[in-house]
Amino acid sequence: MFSILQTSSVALRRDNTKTVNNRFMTEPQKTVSAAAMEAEWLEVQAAQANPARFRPLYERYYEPIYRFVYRRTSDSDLSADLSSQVFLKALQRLSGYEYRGVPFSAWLFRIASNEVAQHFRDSRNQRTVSVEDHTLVEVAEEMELDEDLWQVEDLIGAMDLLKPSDIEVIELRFFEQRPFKEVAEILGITESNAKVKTYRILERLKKHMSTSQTK
Amino acid sequence: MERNYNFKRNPEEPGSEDIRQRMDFDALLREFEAQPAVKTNGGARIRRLIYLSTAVAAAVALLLVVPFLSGNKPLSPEEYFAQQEFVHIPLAQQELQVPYTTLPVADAHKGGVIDYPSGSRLVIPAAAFMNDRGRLVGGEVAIHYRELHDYIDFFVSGIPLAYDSVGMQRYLTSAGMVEVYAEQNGKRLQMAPGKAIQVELRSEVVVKDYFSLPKYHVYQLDTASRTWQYRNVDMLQFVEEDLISGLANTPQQRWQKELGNLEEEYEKALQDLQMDYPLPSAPVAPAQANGNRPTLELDFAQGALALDPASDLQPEDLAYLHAGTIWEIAPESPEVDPRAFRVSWETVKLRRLNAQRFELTLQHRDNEETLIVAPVLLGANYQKALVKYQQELAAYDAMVTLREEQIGGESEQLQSQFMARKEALKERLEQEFQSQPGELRRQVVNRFVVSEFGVWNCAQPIDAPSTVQGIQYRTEEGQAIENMTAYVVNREYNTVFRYLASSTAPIGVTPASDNLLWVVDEQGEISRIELKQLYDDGAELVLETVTPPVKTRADLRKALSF
Repeated sequence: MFSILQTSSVALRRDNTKTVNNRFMTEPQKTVSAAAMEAEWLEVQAAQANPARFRPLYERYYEPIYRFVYRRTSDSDLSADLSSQVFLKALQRLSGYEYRGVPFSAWLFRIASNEVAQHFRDSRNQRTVSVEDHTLVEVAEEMELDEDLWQVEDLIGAMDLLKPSDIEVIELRFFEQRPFKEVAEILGITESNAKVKTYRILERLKKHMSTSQTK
Repeated sequence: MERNYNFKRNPEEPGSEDIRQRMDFDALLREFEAQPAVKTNGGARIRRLIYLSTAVAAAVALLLVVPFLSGNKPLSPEEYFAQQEFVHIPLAQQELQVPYTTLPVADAHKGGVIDYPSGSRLVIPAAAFMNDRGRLVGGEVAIHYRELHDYIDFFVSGIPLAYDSVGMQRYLTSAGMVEVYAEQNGKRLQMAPGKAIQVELRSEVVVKDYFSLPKYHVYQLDTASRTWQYRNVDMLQFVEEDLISGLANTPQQRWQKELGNLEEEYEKALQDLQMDYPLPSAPVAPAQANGNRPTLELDFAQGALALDPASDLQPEDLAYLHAGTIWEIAPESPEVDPRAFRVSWETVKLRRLNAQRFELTLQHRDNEETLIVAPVLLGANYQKALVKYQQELAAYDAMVTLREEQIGGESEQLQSQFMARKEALKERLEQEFQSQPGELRRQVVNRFVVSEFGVWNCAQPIDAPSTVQGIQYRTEEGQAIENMTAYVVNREYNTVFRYLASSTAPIGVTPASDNLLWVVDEQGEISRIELKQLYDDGAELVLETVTPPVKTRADLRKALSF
């Protein structure tokens, strides 16, 4: 006997090759060069001296921040509301910002992450997790799941058992493809801690999946 | 079973335009300045209340402050323009905008070429696009593209043309502008690092000199720093007008025709010169017999064997052959029938195939033998012939050198005459074209690369006109016009100058040129005036309101024609 697999899960695999912890071993390609980050630091310094000079940074990052929030809320008005709050807080805290070799956006995403978490703590509404099938396949590959033995629904079911802080790690690392350094900056932890956390969350996911399959 | 999270699989996300509409930095800045400390534990509902109350307060404040500002304390141009959006669209009707043409790239991994009806072209490299997470995208990508060509297009787009050149305010006069961006499934894409789209923008430029290419540079609009950024050189090229217009007797056709006549005369004079000094015949190098091929001893040159009168070649044609020449049957010749050597042939014909090969036809009343033969020499004959050939060759080289010297001087003279006549023709046509009424315009292709999406301008910086102050602006009804943008254009430059219409602000128009000045009021009504010159004497400009209000692009073109 055999079951018919959903096309949106295993069938999406591009090949049969196994990738053993490749995400841990290899950093995703950085999209912001060191020179660009340093140039941006000059813009941040200008904004620290004069808040009106924050405009270019606002215009550059409004859309990414909005999308970041939207993926966690699936509510357009709420996303606009929280995004405004993110930038207001950024302006208020800008004087304390220091360049640490990561994009300025990481700092903004950290504020956004806190805002989103705060919102769901206050509202007790159900938090949204936006998943795309191909990123789920990457999570499954990272967990070294046998391609014939898992389905999207199983993985989503296992993720549903994770804590919000764990979900955030999965989102940042796999769904948004961020380097560990940036994940660490957003979460306010060290880079090695981000790697360890990710590894443990994947282990937990694997455990949840095997438990559910046994049942 | 109820889930802890609301999982959304492959969700649709809002488009970039929807998101951008929610941006309001000025409101953010006002809120920041009004409320330096923020409550971080407030809910969204409370925040909305804060925004609402702040917005109401700001609106009330504006209502109170604006009449005061416009009535008693006019804004400075710097204050006025700082309050405006950098790209300030003056007329709200979308139908007045230059529309985008949206065409697909079938597979972004492969790239492609897009040709537009305007004659312009985009060449998109492989793997040129990435999403907002920095990942390369494949599949179909929609390319949104539009061209802005003249002051009407620039005006409605709201794109400013002021250019900060090392702290000096200048303007960009444009040879054409493009705005380009890409989307996939409604999501805005970015250009991948290191990738660039090649643009061939077809446009028309006013030229002062019909034959000299004007120089333009390429600038990118940087909305973040509110400036134009110099990027690279516009590789401009003239387009043959007759190819586009299909008209006869265009300037380009006149030039081509008259230049063609000159070139024809020049070529004929050169040929005549060559004929005056005929080239001596070059000696033919002797060939040594192979030794393994059969040979025939046929002495045509000395008349020992008569060639048939119908033969292509006669003895005098073979006079150049060296003494002792025999004929070797070439490897590619039909096989020789041994019996041929026993036949008494009646006639013989010879035909030249090339410098080294001849067709020999031996005829008898009953049969015929055709062979391919080559003139060769044996032993001492060859050595003698070789010495003779070297002497003849040296003499030939000397004659050729002498001929080149004789021809060279005259040839240079002919060339100089041709060049002078060409320049004179160019000058005469130039004067003729210049004397024609209207501007001298030429079609060009602007070639450049864009490495980011946005607005790119093929342009050259020009000085802003000298300004005067104290100009009073009034409507036909006598109402003062204050604190509005005054748009000024002239025939000389393809740009839009922007000033603050205010009695205390400076304004400039280009003297000795037709100028058009207009303003747009809050209702979107246009008032305009044509100008030649402005003097620093407190002149009053009475602007005529365009009626009926513009609704279409055609209306707008008519309203702003001058």
